[in-house]
Amino acid sequence: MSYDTAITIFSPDGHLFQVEYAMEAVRKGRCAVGVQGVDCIVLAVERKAAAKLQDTRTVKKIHVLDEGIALAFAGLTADARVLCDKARVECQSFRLTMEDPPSAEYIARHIARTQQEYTQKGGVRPYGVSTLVVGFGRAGEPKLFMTEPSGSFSAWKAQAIGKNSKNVVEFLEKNYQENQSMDQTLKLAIKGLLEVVESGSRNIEVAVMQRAGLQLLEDENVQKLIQEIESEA
Amino acid sequence: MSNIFNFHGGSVLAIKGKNCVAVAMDRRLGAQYKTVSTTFQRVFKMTDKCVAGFIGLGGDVQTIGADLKYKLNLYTLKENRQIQPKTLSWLISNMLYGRRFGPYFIEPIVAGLDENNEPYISTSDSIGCMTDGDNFFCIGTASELMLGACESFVKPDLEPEELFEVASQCMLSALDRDAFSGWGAVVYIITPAGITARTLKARMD
Repeated sequence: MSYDTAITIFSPDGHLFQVEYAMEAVRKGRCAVGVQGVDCIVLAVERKAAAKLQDTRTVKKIHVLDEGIALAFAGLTADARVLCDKARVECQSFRLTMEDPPSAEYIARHIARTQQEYTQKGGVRPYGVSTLVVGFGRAGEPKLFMTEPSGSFSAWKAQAIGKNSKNVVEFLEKNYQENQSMDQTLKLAIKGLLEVVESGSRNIEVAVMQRAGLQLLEDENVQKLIQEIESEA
Repeated sequence: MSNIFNFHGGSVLAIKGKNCVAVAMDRRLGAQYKTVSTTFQRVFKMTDKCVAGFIGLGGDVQTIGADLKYKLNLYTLKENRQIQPKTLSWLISNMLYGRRFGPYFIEPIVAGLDENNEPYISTSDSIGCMTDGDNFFCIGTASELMLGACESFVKPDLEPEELFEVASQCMLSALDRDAFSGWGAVVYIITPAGITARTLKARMD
């Protein structure tokens, strides 16, 4: 008897196997790290080695959802794209009805709610994606949220998802400090990712969310930071 | 109550110039003969080089303005670039025809510079018949008055300063005569440098 083909069914010992399998898919996805600073949040993601003929512009792991809200994911790229599009529409819908931009928390909760729906509806499978949603709160404090295929939603000071994320989280737990400057936060996020990714700006993509908006770092700036990290070591 | 398009009043015009466009709108919102607002906004900024103006029923003007912001934000996120004026015109045309059998009681004007800074203006009827082939468009309760004035004063390839004068004079002379438009005007001039807005005082009635 298999309890994992229809997701609407619990196994006798209380597991939702499809949800757990989805988390496996996330664990196989490329690593993404988010770290909060005093006035910014840094997202660092593992970049896939680009195939020679590929246009790298079309492969992104960090997505802008709205002014002041961005998302990085680990897991199935297509599922992330669909989830992203739904979140973008929700941002605009919120702006239209509330005449105000949504908070990062509202959107993260919306994404989590969508992911949960797909664990209870008939005929669908869960999204094979965990996301890190970044933005700012009402008083302008930086916010970092994580959602998972189960639909759970939690706030973090620093978090990592995807391949070998456990190692990165261990590193972050040891080295995270409150209220670090943007430069320190950048270095911590990159150092954390470098624990599990080969060194080199070809393999790492970094973005910073500040109140003014999301800024994707140029390759050479990332390379410079990596060199500074290696020389400090 | 005979014509729902004239209930709230209001007029908008757009003129093409040399690497620039001008859009002028009046500021009145009325309930037939009664004036309700003298600061009604009927032109909306779409991109750094493009605006859209609407005449007709006030609620529909505001709703379409807000709805367009929604659609444009999604477009910008997806396409990673600003929308072109011509594309925006078709977007509005499709929005309007989508309500073919329960229409928005508005007429739109789109005016802007495309990616090569070529001036572009267009208008459409309330159910999306888009047209963009002329040097100027005038819509609203004072449209015929404005058309007459524009026909006399508009020349091809007007520089931004001249264009501002022509647009202002055409709008002001029409506002003087039309009872349902007035209470001042705002003239937007779009050049490659950006959008400038100037408010004019007219017969404040």
